[in-house]
Amino acid sequence: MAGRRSIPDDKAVFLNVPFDRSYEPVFLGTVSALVSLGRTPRCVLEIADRGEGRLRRILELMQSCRVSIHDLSRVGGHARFNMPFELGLAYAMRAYRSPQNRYLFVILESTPHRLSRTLSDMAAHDPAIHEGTGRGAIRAVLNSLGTPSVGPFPEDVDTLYRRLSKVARELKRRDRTQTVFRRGTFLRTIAAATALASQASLISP
Amino acid sequence: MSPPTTHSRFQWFAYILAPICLHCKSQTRRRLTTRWSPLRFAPGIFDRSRPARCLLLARYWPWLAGRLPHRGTPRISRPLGALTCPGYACPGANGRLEYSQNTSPGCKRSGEMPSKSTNHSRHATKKSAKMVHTPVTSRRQPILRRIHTTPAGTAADIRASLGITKADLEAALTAIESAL
Repeated sequence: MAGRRSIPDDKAVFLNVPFDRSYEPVFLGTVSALVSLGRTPRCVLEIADRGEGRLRRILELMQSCRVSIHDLSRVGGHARFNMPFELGLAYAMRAYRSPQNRYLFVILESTPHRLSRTLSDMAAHDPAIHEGTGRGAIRAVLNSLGTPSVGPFPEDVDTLYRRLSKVARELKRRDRTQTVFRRGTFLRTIAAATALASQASLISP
Repeated sequence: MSPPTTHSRFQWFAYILAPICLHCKSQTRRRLTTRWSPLRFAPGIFDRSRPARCLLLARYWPWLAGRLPHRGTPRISRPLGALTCPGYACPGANGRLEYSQNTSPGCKRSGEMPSKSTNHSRHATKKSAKMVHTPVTSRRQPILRRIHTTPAGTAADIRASLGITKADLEAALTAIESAL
């Protein structure tokens, strides 16, 4: 396992986001935008822990993806250091990968101009601002990974996001969990997002 | 005070070998010029005008730009971040094709941009397209282009790469039916 390298998937996007309940709207907006772009949202939640440690799983997932999205909006009283740490991993992968397998990362923030104070080392990188809302996350992801000529209309993705939010609520009720950040609920949410996107003709079934 | 240096005996030979003014080549060996200049007695001119032999420099003749060897530091500094200086500073460099607007078919194929001053019909050839210098920005363009032009995955692709089982999909479809 130690030296295993998986071939990066151009469509896979690694999500490095906080797994708390208040982040769910932004998460669902991000998932809606990625699915409507035909990308695969990958997350550490999808892999069951078999005793190899969370960091190992994260590294393997990042190696299998070409792009990662890092949300650095969790600052303040209960700061989370996981996201900056994984952003550092992504930066190292970007720096040391070969040009053919170049790694790209997108930084999300909720407040403009805050990243220059919280993480001044990334001063040259402009984060995409989602303002803590699902619609803001959709705009941020579409701006970062979509193209105006090929990508879906933001209104269509908004509709998908609204429907997905309702389905996620139903899935949480059925799974008897408070959040979608459980492995089974997460996978079923992605399955629902793909089904809804194909129903809306955003992607082919 | 040492007297001003004079021409060496074999300096004329250098003119034949390299059409370049030695005055411009070595700025450290400056000497006072006694040649005629329209600005010679102009007030406020603290730097002497160049001697007439500077006219041999390639940069004075636009149609010779890039054809004659150029020595010496370009007087125009390159833009911040550029690996090569622009064409107006380095007549022989390919970097001048980097700062331009129009594209010829051959250069479009390689994704490069020739300058307005270049002959587009000539640059449409394969050879010239190969000679075009690769701009700094284009090095990361293929990666972005590949990310942006990657064909969108189908719903089945996304489910397969995540390992979503049929049972998960059926549960999701049931939730969709009951929620919407």
